[in-house]
Amino acid sequence: MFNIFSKKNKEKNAFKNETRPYQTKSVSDQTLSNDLHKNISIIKESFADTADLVCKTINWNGKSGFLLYLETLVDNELIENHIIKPIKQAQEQPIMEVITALDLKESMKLPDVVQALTSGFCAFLLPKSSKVTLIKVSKQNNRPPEEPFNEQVIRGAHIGFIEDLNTNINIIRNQVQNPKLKVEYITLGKTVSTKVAIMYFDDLANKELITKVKERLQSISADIIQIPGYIQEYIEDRTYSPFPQTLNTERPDRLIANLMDGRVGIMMNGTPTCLIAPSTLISFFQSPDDYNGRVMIGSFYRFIRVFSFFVTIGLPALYIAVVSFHYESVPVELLFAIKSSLEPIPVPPLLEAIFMAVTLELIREATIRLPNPVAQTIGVVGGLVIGNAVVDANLVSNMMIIVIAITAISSFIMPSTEMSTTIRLLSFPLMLAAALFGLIGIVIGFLIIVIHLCKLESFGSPYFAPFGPLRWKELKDTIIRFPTWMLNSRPKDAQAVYRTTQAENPREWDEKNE
Amino acid sequence: MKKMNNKGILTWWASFAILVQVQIGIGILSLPRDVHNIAEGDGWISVLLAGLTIQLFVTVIWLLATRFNSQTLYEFAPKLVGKYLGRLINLAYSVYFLSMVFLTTLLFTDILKRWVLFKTPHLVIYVLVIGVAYYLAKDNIKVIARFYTFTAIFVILLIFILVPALVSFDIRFVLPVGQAGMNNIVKGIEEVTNSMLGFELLLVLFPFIDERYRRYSIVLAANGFVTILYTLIVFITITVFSPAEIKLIPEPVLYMLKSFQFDLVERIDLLFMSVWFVSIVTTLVMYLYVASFGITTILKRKSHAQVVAWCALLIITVLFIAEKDIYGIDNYVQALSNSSYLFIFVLPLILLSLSFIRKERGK
Repeated sequence: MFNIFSKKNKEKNAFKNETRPYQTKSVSDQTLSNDLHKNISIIKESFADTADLVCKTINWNGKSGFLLYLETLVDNELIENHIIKPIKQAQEQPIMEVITALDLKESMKLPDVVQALTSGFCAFLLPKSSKVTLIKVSKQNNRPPEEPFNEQVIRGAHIGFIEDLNTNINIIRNQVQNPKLKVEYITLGKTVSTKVAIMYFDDLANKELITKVKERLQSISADIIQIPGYIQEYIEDRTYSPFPQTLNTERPDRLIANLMDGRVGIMMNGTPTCLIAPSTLISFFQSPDDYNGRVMIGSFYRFIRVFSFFVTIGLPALYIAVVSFHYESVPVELLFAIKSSLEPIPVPPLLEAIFMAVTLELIREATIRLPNPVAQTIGVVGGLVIGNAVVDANLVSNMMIIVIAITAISSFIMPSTEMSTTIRLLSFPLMLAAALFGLIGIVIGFLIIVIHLCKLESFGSPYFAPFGPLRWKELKDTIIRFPTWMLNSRPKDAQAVYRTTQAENPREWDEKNE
Repeated sequence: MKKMNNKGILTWWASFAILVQVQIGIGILSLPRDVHNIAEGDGWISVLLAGLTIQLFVTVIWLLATRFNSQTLYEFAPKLVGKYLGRLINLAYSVYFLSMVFLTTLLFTDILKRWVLFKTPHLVIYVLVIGVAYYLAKDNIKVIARFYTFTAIFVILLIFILVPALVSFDIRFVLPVGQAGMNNIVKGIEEVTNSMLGFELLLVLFPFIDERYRRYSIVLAANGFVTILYTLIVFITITVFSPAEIKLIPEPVLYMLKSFQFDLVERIDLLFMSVWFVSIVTTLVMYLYVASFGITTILKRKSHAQVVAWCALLIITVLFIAEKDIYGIDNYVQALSNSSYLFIFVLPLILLSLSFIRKERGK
């Protein structure tokens, strides 16, 4: 019986330990020989005779060397200027002194050569030598760092991350200019390798937190880690929770602010999205705009966002509960209005609500995929025509349209797309609870959500902080935003080593202040 | 992840929030009437005195718990009275805590059925209420404490709901002070004490409180807060309803709220019930947790999560069988309130004197 278990275990570990022929590490670990043509054929074989592997003969010092590169990865101009030109003019110097490219190395190992070729190097092979000179000539084609569409702000930097990791780190480094900003690379993915960068302020971010993040990242053993969504699911504490446990952002300013709190940023090559760990619920409500606007205005909008959180989750449920259970709790005038709009509707309020909410999701989903001009048409058709016709046809009451419309708008107020979808999803079970048990059902629903939030932890930090556990001092930057000079300590949930961010009284000129 | 040893993690605010919310329970809804029946207009004095009496009980428990600084009742009882008798005491306490869960759910379901969910079967309400409590109680004290610190805000909200009562306020109903006589006022204390139970959980929760704080101050503040809140509620209710009226209504607090009208919400009592639900759940969770904690210790299990599930099932079964009419419920209330003195005062006192005699002390 125990044999069965161990066998199963073996199978489980098989993927982690063995290298399949298609994976990156499958290149045989052999040293190159002195035979030039054999070397070339081995390299070509490792590349499965791909068509874009170019092999060019170049004469140097009377010997005919070979230049190997993947033409789709390299910049032709760089090869011409830094390799071919100097070689042609060269006398009897060693090859390493001739070539004028910056990134230059030598190797005798086949895997190194193959690895270099795949990352934009070109290899120069000479007869009767097992040493291969590797020269970096990779081509960069980046889009400019524009403001991300999904996280736009009114005031503040209009710059966003792009798909290239180096550019992203460059943006951060340019703004921070601090030697303590530490970047660590991990290469993930056994077949499609992706470079992942872990960023944090050394000596500020908690050591335990960093080890935890690295440990979780390094334990990932999979063929492909293409998008941050993968990483997120591999490293987050609870997958079966509707709440996102790492903050996704494409904004450098947001990342820097979080790094300054002592959190850890995880970026990867190929996507502009950056993950921030640990995150709390409230960080999904904060937007750089809050700090750029005036204190009262920032507070007002923060409050509106928290309020809209409850509206999105609870308003349809509350409406259902009131019209089907507690109609005596609304004033008579309002009751008449509701009654007259509900009178001709043949279906129960729950079905009405679900019908409208699903329609709304349909419109949203349809407009995402379509090109802009068509999307607007869909918006008009969906919003106006369906909305009007549905009421005319007596399928859904006027009141319900109002309720669902308000719910939809308030769900889009969230600065984070993930949280916005989460809360819209949560409104469905609450509608059901309201239809079954009225107000008590809503209370039970909210209780379960709050209990769940209390149970959630993101990298060892309570997710629901600073509400549960309640930390009075940290409520300064939650439902309302206090003036910047009063936010003088880092949130405890970021686990930073040093908590203070500014002097006791940063406004020293203001003597009346204290 | 689920370590049993979470001792010393509760902060001042967390322990305060837990103690307050466990103490505020189902009793307050009918308390004004119950105490008015005995002490009439002087009911609020009874509540104040009951607060003092409870402070005495709590002090005994506190003295006992501080002697065994880092041990719960379940750990030090066997040391004091021997292995088997100790286990018996532990079992008795666990059963007592479970029966508190039973009674609270029974009473709350009764009120829910009369005020909100008229047609819903008893069983469904039991499953809902106990289910929510189970979902929280199965986790460790850290998570539970997080929840309590958050829901403490609702207690403050409860006070605000009572503000509109000040409009229909008639001070003459409590005058002259002392009309019922000392005898009746003292008798009223007994009635009030039953509604303020919950502090006895300190026997188990004490070692979880962080030692850096002055732990007696927490106990004092929590009990003081509850006493003042209860006195306020009883005082307001007695002054809103005339002595003749209050005799007729079983839940004066709810009736009082029902009579208030606002422009947008006509039934404040429904809102109150919703917030009240949270208070009930907080009471249930702590009792359920502590009871299952005891059973876990007796059975020498590692994790309490499974025990909570069994306890929840057991309670639902017993609730299903139990009598649900007014007389039946009254019997349970009487039985439990009589036996509660054993657990909140007599047993702790015996254990305390034993620990003095045998000079037993925790490290």
